[in-house]
Amino acid sequence: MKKILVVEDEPDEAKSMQMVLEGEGYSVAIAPDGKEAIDSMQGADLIVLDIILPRLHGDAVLREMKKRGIKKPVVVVTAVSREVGVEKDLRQIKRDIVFLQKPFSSSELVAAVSSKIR
Amino acid sequence: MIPIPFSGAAPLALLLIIILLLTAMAILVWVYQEDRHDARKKEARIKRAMAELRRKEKEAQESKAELEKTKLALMNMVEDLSGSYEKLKELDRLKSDFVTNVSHELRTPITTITLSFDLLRKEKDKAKRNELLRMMQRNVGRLSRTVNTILDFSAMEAGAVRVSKEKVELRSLIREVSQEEMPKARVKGIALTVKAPAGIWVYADRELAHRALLNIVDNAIKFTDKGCVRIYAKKQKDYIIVSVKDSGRGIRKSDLPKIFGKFAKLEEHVPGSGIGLWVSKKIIEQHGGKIEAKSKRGAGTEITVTFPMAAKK
Repeated sequence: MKKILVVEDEPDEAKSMQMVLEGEGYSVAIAPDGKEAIDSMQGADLIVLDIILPRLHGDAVLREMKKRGIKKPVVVVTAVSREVGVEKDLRQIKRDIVFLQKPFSSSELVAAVSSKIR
Repeated sequence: MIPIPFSGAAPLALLLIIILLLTAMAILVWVYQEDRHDARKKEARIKRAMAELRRKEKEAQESKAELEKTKLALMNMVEDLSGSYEKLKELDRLKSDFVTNVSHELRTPITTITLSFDLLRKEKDKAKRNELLRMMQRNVGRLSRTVNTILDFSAMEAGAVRVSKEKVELRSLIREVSQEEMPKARVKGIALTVKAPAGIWVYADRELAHRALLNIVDNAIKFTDKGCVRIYAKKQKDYIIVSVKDSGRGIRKSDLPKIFGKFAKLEEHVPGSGIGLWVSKKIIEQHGGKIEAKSKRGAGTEITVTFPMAAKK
């Protein structure tokens, strides 16, 4: 069973993402902030990462992953508008990211995750 | 007869010599006088020239001082302008942060509602269905609060808020607010308590006063991770004091004046639009009341508002 780590500080949103992904047969763990995400990343096959996080910001998580040589696929979920240019900034840290802008549906989330995990 | 030497011509010669001498003296005196006159004229000219020089020097000094003054005024103007520019830039930055925050505040609950709705359609288990419904309800609540805050904010910015005051029983108002916020406190595991005597009446716009208190309590819960948020009310002279005290992380002294500001966000990664307390302040002021904050970093914050008491009837 493939393991997904959902890094999301909003408890309801994390929970609903977990339920959707578990319904697709994934095993899902939740990390409420960036620090915990880094600590519990080892066992995961894919990371779903919210960009606005307490303690360690999403971009800092990506930077830390790069520093530690963790090459896991990442789906970035963001509430920030595309126009702000976050995508471009984040791709400079990690080129291979799938972006998912909030609000998204279950099928969009599942599609994004399954495009990166086999 | 002894000839007197020069007896014939001598007196004449003497006279001539005297005349010559006198003439020479006269010429000398005249020359001397002329010289003195000349010298005086020269002296006067020098004096005039010196006076002129002094005047010019004074003029130069005056225009130098004038120039200094103009330079100072210009420098002040430049300083003022760059100050205004910095303020504008700051406001612009705050506004764009506000847009980001609001978009987060709107998109996050919509995502949860959308996902819960998708899940609910497939879910057969009753307990899980109920959990999903509660989740949807919480997020609809959050969404509508954000929408209300934004609408309040724009109405207030446009000066289009109408306050219609009536006699309002404060304890019931506070209890409504506390009930609305209770689920949030419960999720965070903190206590939310109300201590208010019955029968205190204030003269207020019920809906707006509710909104003002809700924002304050919401904020207190947001910044408290353990312990409690206590709401209490008491009479003081012609005023009613409502106080919301939390055991949260507190606010730095330097940040305290900022919390009622427009788009105030002291912590970047805490969700919120950054206008809630500004809206509260405006509402309280429109009621003729005051809002104040006391805080100590690490030891919690207390927000106190005053409402004018309704006349006894």
